[in-house]
Amino acid sequence: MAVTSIDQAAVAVSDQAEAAPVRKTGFRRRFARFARNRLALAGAICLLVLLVVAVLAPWIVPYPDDVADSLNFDAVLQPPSLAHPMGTDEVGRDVLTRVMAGARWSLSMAVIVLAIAVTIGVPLGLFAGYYGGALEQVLMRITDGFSAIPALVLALAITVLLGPSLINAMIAIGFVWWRSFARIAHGQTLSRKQETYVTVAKSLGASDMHIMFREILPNISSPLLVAISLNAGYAVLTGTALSFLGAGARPPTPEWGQMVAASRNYLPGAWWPSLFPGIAIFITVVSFNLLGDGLRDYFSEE
Amino acid sequence: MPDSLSFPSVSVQAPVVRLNGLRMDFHTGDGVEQVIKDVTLRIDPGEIVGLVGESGCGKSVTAKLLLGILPMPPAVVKAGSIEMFGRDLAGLPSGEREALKKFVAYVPQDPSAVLNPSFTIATQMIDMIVWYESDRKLATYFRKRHTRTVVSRARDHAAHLLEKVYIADPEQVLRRYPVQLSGGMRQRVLLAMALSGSPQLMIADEPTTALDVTVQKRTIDLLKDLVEREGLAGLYITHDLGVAREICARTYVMYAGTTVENGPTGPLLDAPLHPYTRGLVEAIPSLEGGLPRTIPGQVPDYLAPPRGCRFAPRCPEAFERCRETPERVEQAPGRQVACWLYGKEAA
Amino acid sequence: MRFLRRVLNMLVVLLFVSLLMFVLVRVLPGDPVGAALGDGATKEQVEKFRVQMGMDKPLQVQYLAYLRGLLDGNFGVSLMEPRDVGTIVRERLPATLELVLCSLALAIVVGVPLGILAATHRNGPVDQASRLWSLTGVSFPNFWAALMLQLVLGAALSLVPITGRITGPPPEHITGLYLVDALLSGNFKAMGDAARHLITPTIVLAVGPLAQITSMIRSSMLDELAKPYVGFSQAVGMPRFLINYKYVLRNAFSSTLTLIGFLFPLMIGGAFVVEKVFAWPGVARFGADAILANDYNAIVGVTLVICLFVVVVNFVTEELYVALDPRIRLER
Repeated sequence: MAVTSIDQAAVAVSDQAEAAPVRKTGFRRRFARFARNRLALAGAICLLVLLVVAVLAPWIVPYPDDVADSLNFDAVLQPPSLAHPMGTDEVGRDVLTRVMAGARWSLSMAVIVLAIAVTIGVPLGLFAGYYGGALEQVLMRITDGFSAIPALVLALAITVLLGPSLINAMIAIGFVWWRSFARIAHGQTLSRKQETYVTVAKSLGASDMHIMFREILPNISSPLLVAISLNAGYAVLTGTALSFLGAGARPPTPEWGQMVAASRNYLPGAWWPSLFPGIAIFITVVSFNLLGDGLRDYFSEE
Repeated sequence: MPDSLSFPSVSVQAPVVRLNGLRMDFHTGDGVEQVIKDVTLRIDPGEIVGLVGESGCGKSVTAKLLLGILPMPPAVVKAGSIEMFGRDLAGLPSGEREALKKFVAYVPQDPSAVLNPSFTIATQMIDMIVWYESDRKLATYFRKRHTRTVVSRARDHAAHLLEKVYIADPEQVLRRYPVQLSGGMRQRVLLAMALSGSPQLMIADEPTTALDVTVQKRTIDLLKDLVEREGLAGLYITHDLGVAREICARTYVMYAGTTVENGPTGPLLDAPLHPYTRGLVEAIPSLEGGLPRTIPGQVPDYLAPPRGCRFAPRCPEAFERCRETPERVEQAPGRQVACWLYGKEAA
Repeated sequence: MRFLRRVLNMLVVLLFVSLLMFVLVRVLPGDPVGAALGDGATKEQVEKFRVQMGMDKPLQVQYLAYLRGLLDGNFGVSLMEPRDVGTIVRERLPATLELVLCSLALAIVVGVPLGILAATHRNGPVDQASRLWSLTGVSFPNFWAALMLQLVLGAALSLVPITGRITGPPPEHITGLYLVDALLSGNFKAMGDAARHLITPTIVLAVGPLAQITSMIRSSMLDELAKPYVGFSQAVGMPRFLINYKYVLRNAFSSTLTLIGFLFPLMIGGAFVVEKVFAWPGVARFGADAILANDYNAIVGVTLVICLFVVVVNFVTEELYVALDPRIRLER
């Protein structure tokens, strides 16, 4: 490898001009650095589009989504066509319409699950890491216990026991998901609490609460942000799986997992009502992962 | 220890290293860094040459280049030539370039980081010795590495090498993992490993900075002793002028990718010519007391280095002319300086 | 001493899980009696059933009775099929283990070399592909991937059976793992039969872990490659091949071991979905059905057994990690 470059050097024109490259500054520079990761940018754009679709769905869907209006028994299980780009389902509803309407359920799933998980997990992790001692032992053993039960299993059990519904699924997954954030917050707090700014704040007589939430928390926000983005995808996956198993959304809610479950009985003949909601889930989860991966690279460069 | 000096042959008379007007760029995400501007440097057989300068002046880049571990790209040679053992590296196939590494011993900066933590000293030394014996062929290496007699011979040789660096109980050290050794001991193991090829040149990149002060002195003595005993040439990179005076016959002073001054170490430090060298010398705390003076400013941004002499922005004696790059002129025998204050055109 | 403390830790975790699940199923509003007896049950029938199940007693009494039962190997009676949960789990466990172990093996066998290639040829085509793969591979909804594979491989191409674990008679029962049993008893017909059934569920369950192993091996190898000892080995002329495969991989693999401990519960969770879709007669499908049917004893029993496996796998991977890394081993 060294040699090729030196070979090139023989033919390279010795350019004496020492031009100063322009350095970008501030937000534009930071954005440029984030955007250099094309995949991360693609993920962010995809999520933005999903968000717009989710918000505007009632106005932009090609067919009525309302239950009574959408039923059309003359057009049951029609393959994709110009009129129905993703075909129609077992009761004649337009699949594209339902996939678009489903965006809001998946995004709400991500938002609510993460809101619950972060609210429970981050403070627990901060407390455990900051106070240490017996409190840390107890909190982290509880976290271990929760981690030993597969997330999907615990979430499924809680959802069913609460009574199967989409909102209960969100609550259950959020209640299961806090452990990841507790772990991260705990580890980060442990490594940060020795740092100078914490010592300074302590010597100035700041309260523990102040130190934890105003000094340490802002400093661990980057890894938390990355974790939030990466966990959002898994939360959506788990949510759709619960609905698929029949514990989450119920028909006729246009939730992607539930749509796949309802349409699987018409396989292998009618593949379209199962295929497209799955692709929608895939794209959503990939976007969250691309964004999270990009954020991680971005922060680690900083 | 069978000496497989069959290939390649190295010239004994030619300078061990000759860099001439070397210029190198680094392509990074932020742009092109013009790190090396003009490095001219010669090491003759059997002499130790010092390379001094502040951190970030391109000393380690030069060392990595000679060691053959500078990743290219991002580094690109833009001009100049690199010769080692009388061979021009530009035309050398990568296999032969690799083969040259056997003649270069490397003593790195941080002895604790360069030993592989997962293997014993014996494993690491035997791997190296057997590989050097294997004519650069993996198949040969694997066959030999699993032959009992070869391995036990290599182990004896490793113990012998450890004795050369005055390790009293080599067998004991061979059985250890790197974490079980002290910093000074690790540095000695590295010196021993450096001898396991058939070295002609030893490159030491600030080998004592990571060590305790008490160990530093002993390591330097050992290094000097080894180089003399084995008849090696040496490149000693340091920012400690005292150490340079102690062991280097000649010294090159490097600033921002340019070798600005060179000459026999004693005269060079006693009567520095280049303002940068003067600054470095004045920055040493003296026994007579008085605060050492530091050179104001810092090493330039290589993305947009100053035009002409790169030291000019920090130089107390800079003038109009310094916007152009000064040529290297011979002031006294073996004494060169690249500064507009000197030379035929200087008034 | 350290060993004892870790075993004790495991027991504490298991005890916590049993308590958590035991309390959850009784405190949350689900109705097992209704689920068990059907809507037409009279009040007397319900009351009789509750007494029979011990559900009229206070919670702590019930829990202690349950723990005492566990010591005798008694997990309580399932509501779905009126037998002891422990017996059912024991019968169904090998099917799940076979599936999960095959998937784990597939993920390691493909993921490790892929990660090595990506790291050693950084930014090359293999690296780009593997990076994209590690982000997309974890993003497939497994129930959907299962259906699509059934559709393509099973229905359209007729390459593999769509559901079930075996079509013909199962091999003689030795370990319960069909592949192993068939091999041991020399029943190659059954072995082929079982293998064909295993293909699709194994792939579906392995996709996510495979992607994670690839990216873990890649990133930990890149970390290792950046360490000074690699530059040193290069500088002294050691060959790339040795550096990569003897020095770097050894160090990178230990961190991947911990990932396996982390992947195991994820795969068990995945098995709940995959076994449902493939009608796989394993403990995960039983667990999923139990949860959906509000079958109290089965829920607690299955969760406990799963956790036992998770905890043991974690224990083993961590011990291996310590054994592989002299830095930790010597500090003890």
